[in-house]
Amino acid sequence: MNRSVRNFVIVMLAAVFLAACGAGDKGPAESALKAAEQAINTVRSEGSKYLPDQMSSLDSALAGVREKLAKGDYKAVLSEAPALTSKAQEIANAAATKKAELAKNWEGLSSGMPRVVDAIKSRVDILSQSKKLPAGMSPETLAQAKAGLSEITQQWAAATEASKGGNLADALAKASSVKAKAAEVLTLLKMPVPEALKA
Amino acid sequence: MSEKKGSDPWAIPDIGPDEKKSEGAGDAWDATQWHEVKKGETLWKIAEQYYGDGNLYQKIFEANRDVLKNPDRINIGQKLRIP
Repeated sequence: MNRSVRNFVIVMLAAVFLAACGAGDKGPAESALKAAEQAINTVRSEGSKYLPDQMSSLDSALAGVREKLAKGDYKAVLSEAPALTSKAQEIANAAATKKAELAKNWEGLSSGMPRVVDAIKSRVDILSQSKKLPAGMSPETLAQAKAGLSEITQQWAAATEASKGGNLADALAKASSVKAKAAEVLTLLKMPVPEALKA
Repeated sequence: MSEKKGSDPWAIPDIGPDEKKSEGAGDAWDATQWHEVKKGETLWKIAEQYYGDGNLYQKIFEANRDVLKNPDRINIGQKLRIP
């Protein structure tokens, strides 16, 4: 065996050895990725709803690991996939906490806001019957208050609808603009602004 | 109903505060407007102050039926809900 043939055989043996080692990692790498995918799929719905940024980062990381598996970088997959599974669990826990917090906030709003709307509606109704408006209130101001009440009623209905659909984050975002508008209308009507609307 | 002077049946007897109502203390959502009756005030005057029209005094009376039995009799210091 001449020298070049010997070198070729050594190189080939080394290649076969490395391929054998890599192929041995393939199954565990696929299993690790599958476990991560399952964990992420389980948390996707709530995670996207309550922690969209973190969920998006996790999906990007998952795509990266899938790419590494496709390229045969099994060691990297074995190293990174378990971290994705852990992160999915963290997001599941954080989303549950966030959901409970939003539910609590919505509970306060849903019992308080209708009372504020009723108070505004009552005053607008009475002022609409008045032959002369109180000092410092012009017909334009009352017209503004009426338009504001209409806006509040519509926005509040939309917030309630979002809540019924299970989207508390959206419901609270809509309710936030209702709060701001209600405070504005109460001020126009020279009525006290409740503390909850000032926050 | 019109605003009268002198023998005004709405004249407020000069007596101390009547039963006071809760003002929703601690309720962050309470948007109730309250008015504490002062000497010389009548429901007519209070309606004029808040609504611009004394004729709407009944609205205040109706909102305070639990503490007012007669629209002509309100007491200094009484806290009335202004609907």
